[in-house]
Amino acid sequence: MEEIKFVDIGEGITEGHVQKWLVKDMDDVKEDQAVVQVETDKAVVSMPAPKPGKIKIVAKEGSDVKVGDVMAYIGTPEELKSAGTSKPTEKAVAVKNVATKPQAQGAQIQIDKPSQRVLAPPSVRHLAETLGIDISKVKGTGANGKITEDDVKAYASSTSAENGKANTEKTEEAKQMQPVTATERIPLTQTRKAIARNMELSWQIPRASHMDLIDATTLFDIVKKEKEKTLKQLDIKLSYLPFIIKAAVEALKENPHFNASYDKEKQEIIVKKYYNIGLAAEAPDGLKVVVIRDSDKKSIVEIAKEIDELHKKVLNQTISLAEMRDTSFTITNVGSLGGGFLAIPMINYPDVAILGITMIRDMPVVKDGNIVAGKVLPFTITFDHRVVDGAEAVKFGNAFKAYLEDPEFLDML
Amino acid sequence: MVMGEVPEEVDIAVVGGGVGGYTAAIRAAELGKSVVLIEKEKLGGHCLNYACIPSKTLIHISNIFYDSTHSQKFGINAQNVTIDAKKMLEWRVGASEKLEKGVAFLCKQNKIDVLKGAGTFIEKNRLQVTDGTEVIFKKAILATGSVPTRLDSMPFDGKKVLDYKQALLMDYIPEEMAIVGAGYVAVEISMLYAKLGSKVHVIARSDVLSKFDRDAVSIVKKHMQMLGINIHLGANPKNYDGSILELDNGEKIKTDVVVVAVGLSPYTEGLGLENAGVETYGKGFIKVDEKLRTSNPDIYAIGDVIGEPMLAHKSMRQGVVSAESAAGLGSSYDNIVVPAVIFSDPEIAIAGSVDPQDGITVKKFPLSALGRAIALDETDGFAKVAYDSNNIITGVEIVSPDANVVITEAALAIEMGATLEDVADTIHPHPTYSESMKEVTEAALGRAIHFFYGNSQ
Repeated sequence: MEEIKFVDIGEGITEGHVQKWLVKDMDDVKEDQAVVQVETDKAVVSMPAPKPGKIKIVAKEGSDVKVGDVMAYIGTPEELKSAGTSKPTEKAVAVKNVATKPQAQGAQIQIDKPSQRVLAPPSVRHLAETLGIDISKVKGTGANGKITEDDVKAYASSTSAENGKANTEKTEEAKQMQPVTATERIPLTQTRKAIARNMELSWQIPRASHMDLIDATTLFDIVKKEKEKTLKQLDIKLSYLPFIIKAAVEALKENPHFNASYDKEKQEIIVKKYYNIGLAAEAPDGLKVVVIRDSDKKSIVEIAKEIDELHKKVLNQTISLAEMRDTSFTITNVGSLGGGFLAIPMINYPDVAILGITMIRDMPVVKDGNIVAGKVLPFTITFDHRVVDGAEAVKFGNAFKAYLEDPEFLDML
Repeated sequence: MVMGEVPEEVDIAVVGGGVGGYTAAIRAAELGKSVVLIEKEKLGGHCLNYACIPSKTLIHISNIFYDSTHSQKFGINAQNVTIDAKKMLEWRVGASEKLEKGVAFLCKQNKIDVLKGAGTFIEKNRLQVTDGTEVIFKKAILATGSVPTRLDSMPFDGKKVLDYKQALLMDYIPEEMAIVGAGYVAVEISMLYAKLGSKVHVIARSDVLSKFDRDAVSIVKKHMQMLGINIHLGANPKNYDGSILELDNGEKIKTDVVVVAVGLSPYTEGLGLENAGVETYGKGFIKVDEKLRTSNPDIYAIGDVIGEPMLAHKSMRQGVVSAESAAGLGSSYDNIVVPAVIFSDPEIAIAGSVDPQDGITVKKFPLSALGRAIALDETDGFAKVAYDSNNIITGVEIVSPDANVVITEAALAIEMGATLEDVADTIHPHPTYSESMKEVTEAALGRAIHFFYGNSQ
């Protein structure tokens, strides 16, 4: 008999939400067959069966599991009979609870149970103290579970959820004063928690925005012309987005500091030599950013296809962590929903910049002294002002605009 | 300060100018706080003036004197070597004075207002100093230290019955000396005077260094006996008439002086803790939390006065932590180990614990396999390392010359959460006593080089 445990999938994940069992209790399962979907704060992950056999489900749909918790057993029917008797959840919790905080009481300073100490060098302990963090709650990613400076920082940025809890307690009294039905308290989903955390990180960035309008008449015509062709020949619904990505990549090549992130600690700009363009996408459970890797090396058709695939995965909640990380620059397309004129997006931390695109619309345009009806695409570039200045944002914007207005460039794609 | 002046208002008042107190004062001043340091006697406290520094000075001198007449094996035949006790005392006091002046200079440079006098709390945020000053503080740090514990049956008189301070201020070398107590202070003083030529008796209620590892103690005990020190186990002093010390087991010891070294008691006399809402526990120690705050959150306490281990370096670290915490930084006293050194011959140094415990393995490497120890004829000793199932080092004990230096590496290793490999794979300079750390960690990993463990490896 083997256990299916909820394991840390390598992203420092500590808890998850059992979204859906893909098999029924006491079903026969094959080795490596996906049996359960677990929603973590980063993605929905499928857990495979470690071996063939009958499955006994322990963790109920809709329940929360912690790393190490047993979610199911797999084995022969005889083996499974004994499985229900142990209490796996409690066991897992007990194992977790080993970290003890060093105590500086008057008594003799000694390591009574040395293997249970918090393994962190003095500088890291001091960082935790400075940030007001109980280091025994931080999960170490170093050798033997040693806590690093990064672990403490990551924990610090995730404690906003904790603070929320504290606030809950504070408002408990106030809550009692009001009729119970007047408000409803909805705990954040794992995805919402992740979004909240990322937005808080993003908010720390001193940002500024530059906005401009693009004459998208040529772009509109080309997409209109190519749309039918690609749909017929390749079964792909072509949108403006692949062109916008391509133009953005060219503009980034000319303005490399926008394809970057900022290392506050070392006060260095990390310029990315790759063009992984993040695309903000609205999933059923909230915002996700999918990544078109190496966008500079892909054709319009390839990008269009990939966007389509990723979008489907987001909707089906089968998107993997690997498909959502390592952006170098992000684009958010408000226009796809139909509304809006101009928007100021939040930077996708730790990127330096984000490009916000709204809908192409008919607007009066002055051409040769006459007002004519034109296709106009408004955009906003929001940037980390520590790394780049407004003048550079204008340069980036002008380059981006020039590419999208240039029939030759667009034709080449 | 002039009598009757308006009260002095400061950010931080430090009571006690010993190593913990002046460290706290300097750190607070570095953080931009206005600081007063209240000291009734000498800056540097017991450590600089009466304990750590003086004993190490005298131990060094006694070693030179002893070695000069015990080095025939090296071909040294010194005749008629004598020691001038007055000159020795002059040097030892000079060293303390030099250090005390250094502390005064540092206080001045850091714009710390040093008040000469004893402080008493008259309110929660107000201290009356015996020099007439009244100090209103935002935060206070208590670093009043400890005093030698008295024996009711044998009160100190400063001439015949001495505390350890007086034993380190003698301008003559007694022919006979009896030491009541067998802790580290007693052991250090006994070996020091034995090497200077005194006939020394140690009266141990239970055993010599009873709280320490027997492996280490047996080596030191052997050396004490080689120096002619007479150890009286399981005995208590009964009566001393100025020449004969009578023990409760009937033994009678002829001795010029009796040194009582039976421990230290926290010193809070006259502080008026009750006026400030500061609570104590046990034998008078001040209660603190992990940020070293007392039951009055505006008052911190550090060092000997808050409990064991009563060691200067613990106090210094707590001085830094308390000053940072009082200045609003988030520092806590979070140290895993307080290393301890007994300056016996050979020295015993320990960081963490090497006691047998569940899940902990202990490995030992003998000094007799170390090149430097053989060359210098100092082969009595060893290094011990304790480690857990992940090879993380949890304790180290060193019995060796210069153990005081070697143990620092162990303390760092433990604070860093280092493994046996981390130490074993670090190049240790050769030939040094520090190599025992490398050898013992290699041995624990089953790959000893300079010692053959046979099948036990």
